[in-house]
Amino acid sequence: MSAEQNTILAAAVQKSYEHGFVTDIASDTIPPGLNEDVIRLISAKKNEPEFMLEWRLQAYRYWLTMTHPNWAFVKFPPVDFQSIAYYSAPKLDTDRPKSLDEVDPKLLETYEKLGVPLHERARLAGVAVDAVFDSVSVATTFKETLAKAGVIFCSFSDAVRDYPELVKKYLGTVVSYRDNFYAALNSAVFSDGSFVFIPKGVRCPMELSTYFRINAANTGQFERTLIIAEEGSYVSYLEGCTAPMRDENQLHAAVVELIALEDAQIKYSTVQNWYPGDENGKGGIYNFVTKRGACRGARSKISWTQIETGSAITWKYPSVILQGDESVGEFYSVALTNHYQQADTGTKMVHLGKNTKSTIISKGISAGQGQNAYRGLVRVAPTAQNARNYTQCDSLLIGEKCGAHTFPTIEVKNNSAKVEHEASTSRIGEDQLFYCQQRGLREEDAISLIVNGFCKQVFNELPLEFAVEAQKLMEVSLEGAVG
Amino acid sequence: MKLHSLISTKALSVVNGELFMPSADLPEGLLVCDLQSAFVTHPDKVKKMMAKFEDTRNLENGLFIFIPDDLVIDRPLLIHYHANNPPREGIIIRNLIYCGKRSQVTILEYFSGEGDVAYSHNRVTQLELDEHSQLNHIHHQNEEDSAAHVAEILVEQSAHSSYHSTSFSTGAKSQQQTWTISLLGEDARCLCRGMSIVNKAQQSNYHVTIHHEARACFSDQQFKAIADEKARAKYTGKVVVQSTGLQTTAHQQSSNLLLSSNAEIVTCPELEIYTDEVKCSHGASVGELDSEQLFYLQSRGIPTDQAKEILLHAFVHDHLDSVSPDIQSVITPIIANKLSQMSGGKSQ
Amino acid sequence: MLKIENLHVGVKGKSEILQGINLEVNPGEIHAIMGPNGSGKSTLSSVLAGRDDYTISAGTVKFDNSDLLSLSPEERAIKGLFLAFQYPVELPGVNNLYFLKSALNSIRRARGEAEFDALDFMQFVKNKLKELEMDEAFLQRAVNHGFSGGEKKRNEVLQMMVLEPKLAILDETDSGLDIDALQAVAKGVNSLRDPSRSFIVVTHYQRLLDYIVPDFVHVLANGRIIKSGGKELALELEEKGYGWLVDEKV
Repeated sequence: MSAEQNTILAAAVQKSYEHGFVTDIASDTIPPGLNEDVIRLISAKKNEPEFMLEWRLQAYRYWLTMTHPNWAFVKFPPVDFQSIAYYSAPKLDTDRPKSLDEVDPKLLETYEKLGVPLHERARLAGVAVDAVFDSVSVATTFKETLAKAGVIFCSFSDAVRDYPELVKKYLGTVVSYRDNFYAALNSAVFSDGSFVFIPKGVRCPMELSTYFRINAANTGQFERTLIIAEEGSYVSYLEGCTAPMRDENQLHAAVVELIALEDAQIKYSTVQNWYPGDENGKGGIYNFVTKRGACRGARSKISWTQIETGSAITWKYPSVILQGDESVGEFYSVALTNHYQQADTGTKMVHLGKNTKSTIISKGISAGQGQNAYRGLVRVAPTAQNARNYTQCDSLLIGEKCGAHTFPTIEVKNNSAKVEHEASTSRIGEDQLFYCQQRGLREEDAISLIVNGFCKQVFNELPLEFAVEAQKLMEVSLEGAVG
Repeated sequence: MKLHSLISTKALSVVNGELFMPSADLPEGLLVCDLQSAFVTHPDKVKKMMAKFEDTRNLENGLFIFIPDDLVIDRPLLIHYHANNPPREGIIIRNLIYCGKRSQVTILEYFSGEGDVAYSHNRVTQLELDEHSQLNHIHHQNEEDSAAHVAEILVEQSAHSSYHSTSFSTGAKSQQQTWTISLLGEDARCLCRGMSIVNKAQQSNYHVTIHHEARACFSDQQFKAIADEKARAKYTGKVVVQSTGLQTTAHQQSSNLLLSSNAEIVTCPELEIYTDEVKCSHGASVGELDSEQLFYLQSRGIPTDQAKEILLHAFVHDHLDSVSPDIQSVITPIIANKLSQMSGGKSQ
Repeated sequence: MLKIENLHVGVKGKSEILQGINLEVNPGEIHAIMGPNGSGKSTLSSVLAGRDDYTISAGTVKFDNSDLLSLSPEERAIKGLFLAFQYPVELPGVNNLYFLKSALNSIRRARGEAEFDALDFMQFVKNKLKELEMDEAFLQRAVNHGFSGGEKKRNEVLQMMVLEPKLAILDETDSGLDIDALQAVAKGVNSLRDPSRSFIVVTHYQRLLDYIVPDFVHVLANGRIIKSGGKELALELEEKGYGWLVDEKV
């Protein structure tokens, strides 16, 4: 572990946004604007079955009746939904490459710059293979392994085409299109995303991962992810996100739905590093995402881990509905806001089943003029006999102009429940800084050391490769936090 | 009513919102009068305070309590508000309390009613604590089951002032208390405690906001609730630290006991912080009586009901213990009586 | 090695804590600074290490013939000045081994020396642990977090042995230690004794000096060094207390 950490320190010399380049690729984009025709066009371009179009249109019509929510602790000018392009795909999409050799070299170059592992480059380029560790040669083996296990891991569009029954059965059952403003919009216009199906009794033989990237200007990204873990199955899913530097704000409104049946486990990890805007708050991504999991079966478990260091605004609450008896929900989060970044994030744990258990560990770091809010809900329904929740949310403040806010709500309607909540807010300790400096560490190294220590509980939940990346990101994101 | 008479002999009475000056003695140096008289005697002070809170209600009743600079009284000022065949539109009260520099006073406000007619006590209380003053302020809302109790309490604290408030709620069908405390001068200290003990279909709601606007201020909110049968207790506590609130220390703790599967507890301890030189913490817990403790008591031969009652008393103990003995003697029997209704063994 | 001349130090809102300290420490020497509570002992340690809660109104401090006071705390550490804290700071979540390696490599890097890799470093630290009779499990805990008083002090000495400073200041390292811990601490210090390395041992009691024998003893009272002598002065202080000295001076 210390070896990795050492490389991290060494690698963190270049401390600006590393992923801010634009790739010049011909893309197929529908002109900005939103109406039913645009939705029909998106659906047509994707050769979707009728039910999918119907669903999109229902969502759109419902969206038209909604007003933009304003309760969150974030400030931004009204979004002009008519100035966004709702569909943009690399031209290659119609004629998909069969192997990496056929992929546009520019695209591959992009992934290389991003440091995306080869398997992800392949996946991003649209090659049918999804993930490998170590080398390309394993790619086929990997595909075979997944197929042998019966695991389906494909793009959402492919799933709509190849597994319409599964999509129809589960889509929108955790996050209905009526759920909220951005979920409705996403349901109407989503372009693509990932689909994962782990059949009964299967332990997915490897970590599945996707890498999201917004490339084209003036586009919104509306992906949709659906993960279904059948009885007794297990899957660990990772997502990473980057976007080029642009002066305009770009909207990212995704929906993620997780379904865990009896004894199934889903572990979902995110490292979100969308472009945060510059140090004056110009540009950056609006990251407005609805993520929710349903523990449908008894003894099922859903675990969210998120490292949110990017985006101009992060606004999301990965949540778990604990329906099955003895089901378990977990939320581990690190959210860092520097410069003018804003975050309003947290979770909802809704206890319905007996003996359900949830854990919430949230670490917020505010620096510069950053505003960081934790908002959470723990609800214990009358049916949730012996429900347990433990929540810990801590905030660390660096600099006198930032803000840290905590808005937890606890609602308990069952007297056998036990709910505990602890929170603290303090500034980075002068004593700790001095102690590290006295041992020869530079101030910024000392800060990143202390911040990483502060976040450790959450990093521990990440798969190792991601933990390393997360720590590196923290250092990059804290750049300029101290004068 | 026996309990009420205990307090009435020594207290100022406010019946249906109207002040009856007691024949009994007031602590010396203390000025208490109705609001109408205060407009004549202290027009500037009254107008200035009233300008801070716009009250659209029909303003007829209220108290003006003026504590001069340097006045220190050991004996608490007791005020008993009582509803007795009140008007249908409810009893409306507007109180102004001013604590002069370096004064030290304890005030108990006790609310009760009688009869089966539904009524409401609807009050606004404004408090101003001048520099170095200390006010120990105890509320006990023990209205009739039919009553609604609505209170808006606004406190402004100057430098080095110290405000301790302890609020008990055992009565009323529904009660809503909104507290807004502003720490405007440096080193102002505020300790705000609350205790809801509710059963049947009672609803109790405390909403507390503390604004830290000056440096080196301290605040602590400690709220507890016991909810039984179909009752609902809610607490929303908020600490707002402005960029001027350097060296703030603020704590919040919400501890709750849920005794029945039909009762409900909602708690939202919130922090809003705009500067880094702060130490803030909050905690919340909701659960039933601790089964280990219960077992321990039972294993020593104590019957279940009694064991529960012991634990309930233990739960309210630190709040009760924080008020002076003469006030304890008034409210402890009422609280004990309420607790004895609750530990009837429905919960297990 | 260290030369303090006419050092005056104050802290916001209080009168001067140090009122003209003069002290010279040569390579290889051990100086004990003793004095009653509130005499300014810890202030002196903190000022030398570069804590910025203080204002220096007059005087100079030279370390290896260059100005010490203008340096940041980490620059002082890099130059070889080490402070064993009276109250070692807890760093929750920061792994002890990792912390040690970061500190050492930061210093080595700044000096243009090769950094340790993980394996070599582990071996290096393990040897130090053995000398201090400390368990290896120590390395995997968070820095000082949840440590007992004795463990914290041993950890300070471990860090000193790893960083191998030129000048080590031990600020009341003996406070709160039982006799075993005290001996372990002393053993660590003595193992570092070297003609080119100096120590300043700040203490209230004589007992640590039984194990770390000083060349010079200075008595600090009311912000001044009021008496200096050899190791026998410490024994005299133990016997008579500080009163006679302080009174004599006043």
